[in-house]
Amino acid sequence: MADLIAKYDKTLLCNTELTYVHLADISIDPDLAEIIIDSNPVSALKSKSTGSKSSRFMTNMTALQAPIWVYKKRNKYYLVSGLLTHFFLISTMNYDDLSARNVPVILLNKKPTYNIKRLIFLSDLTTQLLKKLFITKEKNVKFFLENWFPNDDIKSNYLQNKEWQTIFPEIKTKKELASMLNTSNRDL
Amino acid sequence: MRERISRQDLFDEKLNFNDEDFEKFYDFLVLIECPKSFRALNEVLSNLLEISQQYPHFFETVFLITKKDLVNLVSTISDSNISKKDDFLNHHFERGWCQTHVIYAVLAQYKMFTSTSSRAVFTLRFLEHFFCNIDTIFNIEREEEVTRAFRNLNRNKTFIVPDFFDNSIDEIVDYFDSLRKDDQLEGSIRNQLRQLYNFFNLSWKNRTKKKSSSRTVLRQRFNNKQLERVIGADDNVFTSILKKSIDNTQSGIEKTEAFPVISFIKTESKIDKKPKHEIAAVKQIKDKSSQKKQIANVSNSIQRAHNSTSLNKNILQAHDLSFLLFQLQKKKNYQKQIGVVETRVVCQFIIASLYFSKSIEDISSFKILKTHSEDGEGFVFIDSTWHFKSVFVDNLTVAEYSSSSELLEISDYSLIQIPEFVSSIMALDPTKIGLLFKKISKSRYRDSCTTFLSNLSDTHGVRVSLKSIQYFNNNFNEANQLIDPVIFDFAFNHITYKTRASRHYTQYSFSEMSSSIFYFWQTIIENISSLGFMSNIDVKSIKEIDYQSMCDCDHVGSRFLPSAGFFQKRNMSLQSKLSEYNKLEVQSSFDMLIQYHNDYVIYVSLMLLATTGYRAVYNPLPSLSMRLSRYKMIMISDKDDIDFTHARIIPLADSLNIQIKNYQSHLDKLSNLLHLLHPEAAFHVKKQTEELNHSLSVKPSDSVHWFSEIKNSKNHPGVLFYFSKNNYGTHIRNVHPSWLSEVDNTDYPLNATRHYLRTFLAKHKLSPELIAFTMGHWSTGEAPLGRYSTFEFQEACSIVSPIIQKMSEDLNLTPIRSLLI
Repeated sequence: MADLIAKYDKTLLCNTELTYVHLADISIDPDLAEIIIDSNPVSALKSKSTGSKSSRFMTNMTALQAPIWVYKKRNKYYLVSGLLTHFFLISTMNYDDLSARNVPVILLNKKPTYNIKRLIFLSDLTTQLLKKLFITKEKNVKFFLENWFPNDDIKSNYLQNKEWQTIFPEIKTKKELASMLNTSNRDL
Repeated sequence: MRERISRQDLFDEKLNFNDEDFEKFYDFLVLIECPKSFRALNEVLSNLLEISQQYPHFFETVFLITKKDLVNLVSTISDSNISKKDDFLNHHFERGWCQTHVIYAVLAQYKMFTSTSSRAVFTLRFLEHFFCNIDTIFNIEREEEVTRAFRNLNRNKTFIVPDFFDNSIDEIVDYFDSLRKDDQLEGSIRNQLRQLYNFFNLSWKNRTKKKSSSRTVLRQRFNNKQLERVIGADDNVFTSILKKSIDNTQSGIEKTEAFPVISFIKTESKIDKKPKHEIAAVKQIKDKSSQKKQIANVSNSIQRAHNSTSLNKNILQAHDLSFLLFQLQKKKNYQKQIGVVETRVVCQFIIASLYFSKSIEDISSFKILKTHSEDGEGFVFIDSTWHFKSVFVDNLTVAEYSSSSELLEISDYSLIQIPEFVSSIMALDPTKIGLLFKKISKSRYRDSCTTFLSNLSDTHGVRVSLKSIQYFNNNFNEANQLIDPVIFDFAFNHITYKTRASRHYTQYSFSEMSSSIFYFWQTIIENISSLGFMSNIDVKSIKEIDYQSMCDCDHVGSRFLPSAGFFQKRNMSLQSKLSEYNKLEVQSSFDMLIQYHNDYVIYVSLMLLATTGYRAVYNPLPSLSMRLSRYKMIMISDKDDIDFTHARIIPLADSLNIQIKNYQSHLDKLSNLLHLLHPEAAFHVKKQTEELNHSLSVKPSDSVHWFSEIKNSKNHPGVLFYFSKNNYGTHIRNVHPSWLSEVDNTDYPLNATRHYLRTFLAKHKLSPELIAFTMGHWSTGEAPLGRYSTFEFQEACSIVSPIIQKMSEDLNLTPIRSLLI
């Protein structure tokens, strides 16, 4: 799976462009919706920090700092990355703005295959979760990781998941994860 | 439920694809709704090949794969195990696929389409439009209807499909629009054409009633031969009696609520009647302005009548009453004969007419009953107190009876106590069972009574007539608003047009009615003596009698009133259901979230219904801006029509105020959580919470349009909505009565809370005007929002709100914060 993503990464720049779409036209890819349907990362955000009025004037900046990735099918756009950016943008906009204002997004020329799509999405989420640390409670980190990287085998945990191993090949034990997050591994 | 091919199913077939092709074909098979068994796929693929060969480019835009891809797919499948399956070659598809696999069914039947030359283009145009608007179509569940129309129209030999290759969608719409109006076509074809027109136009009109009913329709509902007098009005104004109730179930109102507007009739006055030899001028008959003036005159006189004051000439004044009562008690005159009747009997007639609001004819058949359980109406001697028993008949049809065990039982008759001053004049004797008066012609009794009254009027210079005596209770109460007029209905079986709606909602116990009527008379007597007239009459307080143990059941009135305990239990169970949810689970899991939202909405809706007395309608709270928190008022709209006659402002209890505020923050959070997973719902919620800002910037005409669109709407989503799952996914639907009673699992009528509210307010001795204001019961001239009205809303709300608040506390309706906050 690692070479798959490496190959995709190489050709990525030829297959993307910056474009402008209405937020109302974007919805999440149905396959990716399954990942977050039981573990919506929006729920873990601190409620006070969402929808602050100051960011209303910085929509374009927010959209470019962590861009949304979409692909187009018929007249609709489907999101594969940048879920939290999408959320921040939407919560700062009025209802009328949603279908009136254009937002910069990265458009993929081709719909990525199932596996690639998942990897793009998961690596985006884990980056937010583990590297940018939008939540700090170990229990919540564990909850999301378990939901996003499910395993058929009950005994093994999310660390054994193939997609996890592709995104974080260096983290094989909870201890390593804990040391990266700089916490104890008790609740992970 | 639609059973679809899954990625794993296709993977298991081990087809010779690379990853990219696999994705492409999987998407394609999902698009054409290929079933798991691959049944009839052979047929479908060969039809698609035919189409793609004719129009390769068009095919690509519709199905998003090239002709080459399709050939590639077909050849791969024919090499694989799939082609060896029996199901694959089977031409017939399974039962029910026309409902569950609509696209697949269209493609499988393609060979049967009659016009071989243009069927490919028409199919492609149809599917192109279908796929582009797939969300809309599935959301309103029209997919089966449009595909059925499409299939049947194409299979019809008499219909020739034109070539739509160069036509835009608008032109196709126009084409179907002109065809569907063609009278020469068969009905079934025209029906299909209409459905296709709606499909290409993407507009399905909801059948909403927009017009108020015409005069003729209105008149049909009334029996114009049976007239009833208008309370407090002149002699020549009447209202006609209702023949049948209107069928208004379409606009979301239950049958027991659906009364048509009262019609008023003015008969020609006897005095003003022109002599026969005088021919009316043509100009006068046809003059529009004079006709208008006549109608306005009727309305004016009704308005005046319904706003009568205590000095109205129709009401017996203190001095009239004082002389009348004095004469009635003058025992030394009793032996005198007036006509063939003794004065004693005349006095009995008149006091009965005054107290029981009955006509002389009715009184002549009064009797004394042995026990209260005996059949018929009359006087009963219970516990050394005289009672009047009346049999109260409600005109419910059999279907309207509810068998629910939660409803309180009611009695078929009512018993009310008679004060001593009445029973002594009536000279009731418990030993004389049977008719009270001798059987002589009723007109003789009437003549004697009239003579007695005219003698009285002559000697004392007062104006007393039989009519003013009979209608005294209603007229006086109308002017002074002393007690709930419904009590007179129940107590004396005296049904008036004015209480037709409020009567339906109220329940009274025997002792409550007795004490209210005693209070009514005490006030009158006090009034007389305060003006310096004689009063040797003393209305004592009622005697405490345990009717419950004596007659099994001591309540009369509404059949649809559950006990307070029932509501308490129900609310407790709803609250405990809500408190069982886990906060993290609710916020992070989509399924839990919609489940929680549904439960939360039930609680909010039931609270709204209970504390506002909403009728059972669709979309009860059309907008969050209906709550006027600062004034403690809420605007509601039930049983409404195009003129907004029942859009009204009513008092808002504190608990409901807080609950709606909580719900508003719940919606805020909900829209955040839903944005990616259910954009449709999220946008809708966002719009709702921003509506107030929005509504300030629209024109009045637009807002009228907006409001008539959303109120009681079935399809236009409102503030209170729930998630329902259908074949295609999760959709939002407005809260409506049948859903509420389904999820609440109850068999009592949903507007039972309205019955409870009316009864609760009446028990708290609220003035009848305030009760009517809260319930929205009014007739001409009484509407608090009328142009002539001097009704003080703030004052009224500050009186009523605490009582409703007390009720909601009694019923355990405490506001609950959402777990999402």
